[in-house]
Amino acid sequence: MIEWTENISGEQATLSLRGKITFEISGELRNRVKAILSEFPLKHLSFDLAGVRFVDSSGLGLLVSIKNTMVKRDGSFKIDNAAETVRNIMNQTGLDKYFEI
Amino acid sequence: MATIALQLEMAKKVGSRRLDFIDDLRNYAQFFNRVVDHLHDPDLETVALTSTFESRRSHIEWIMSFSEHVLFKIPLVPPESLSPMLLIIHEAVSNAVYHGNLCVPDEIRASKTFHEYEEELAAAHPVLLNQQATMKLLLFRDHGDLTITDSGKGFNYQLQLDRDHPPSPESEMGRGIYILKQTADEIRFQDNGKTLRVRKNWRQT
Repeated sequence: MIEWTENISGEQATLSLRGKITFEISGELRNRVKAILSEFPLKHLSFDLAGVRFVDSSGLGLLVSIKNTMVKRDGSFKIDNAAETVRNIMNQTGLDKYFEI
Repeated sequence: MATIALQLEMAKKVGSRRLDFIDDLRNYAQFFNRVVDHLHDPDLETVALTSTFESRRSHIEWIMSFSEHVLFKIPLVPPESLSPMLLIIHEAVSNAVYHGNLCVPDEIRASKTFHEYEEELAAAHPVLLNQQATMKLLLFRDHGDLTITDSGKGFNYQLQLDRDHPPSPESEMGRGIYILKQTADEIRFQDNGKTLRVRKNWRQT
């Protein structure tokens, strides 16, 4: 289960997430990000993961796909406030450097 | 009506208790309430959780939620091993259902929600959603063992096991078994990849 709040201003948006980012829900989150990106001329997107305590391999894939999309738009994607459990899985998979956390 | 079966067996130094559940999800809360008080017993020595479930999102969410409650409430797993063990269960269940039973194609994973894909399958190939997976989770004072068997055709697991580095950072898929390998102490596939066995030792502090 995941829920989030959105703060969109000009070219910047922050999604503050709460719950788990897993296969079962990653499609819904991906669709919402796609909709935001088609509606707003965003250059900088960030996810505040302070409320996220679990990410699985599909959730990591989703975060990577969002970063890839933002890079293609000449924009940026940032992850803030990742919990230790999330940092651990990022470290295991070498994504800590990719996301600069 | 899709059914789900679960057996929870808790053993102490003296005596044991077994609770069974075979029903649909409407009665899950009743079963959980019946179980929850037994999970805090400080004298527990082993807990065995066995479940047979179908390839439906509701069943997966149910089994994950139940496993998490058991893991976090029993006095057997040290705090630092809780999240890694939960990650192992999640990756193993995902692997069995989405890859083993449903063979969800990569392009579907990248373009549809699981709910949308499940609705498509329900209309076109409902029998696929009935395919079962069986999970057995054994928790001891020093380690946990997980065995999960799916109903699929199997796969070339050796390729995945031989991989000694993670996929490239830009890759949007393919990290599941690598994460299992990194998180577990032992990982073994059997029966052409249809059965996965994983062991995780608790770190003694």
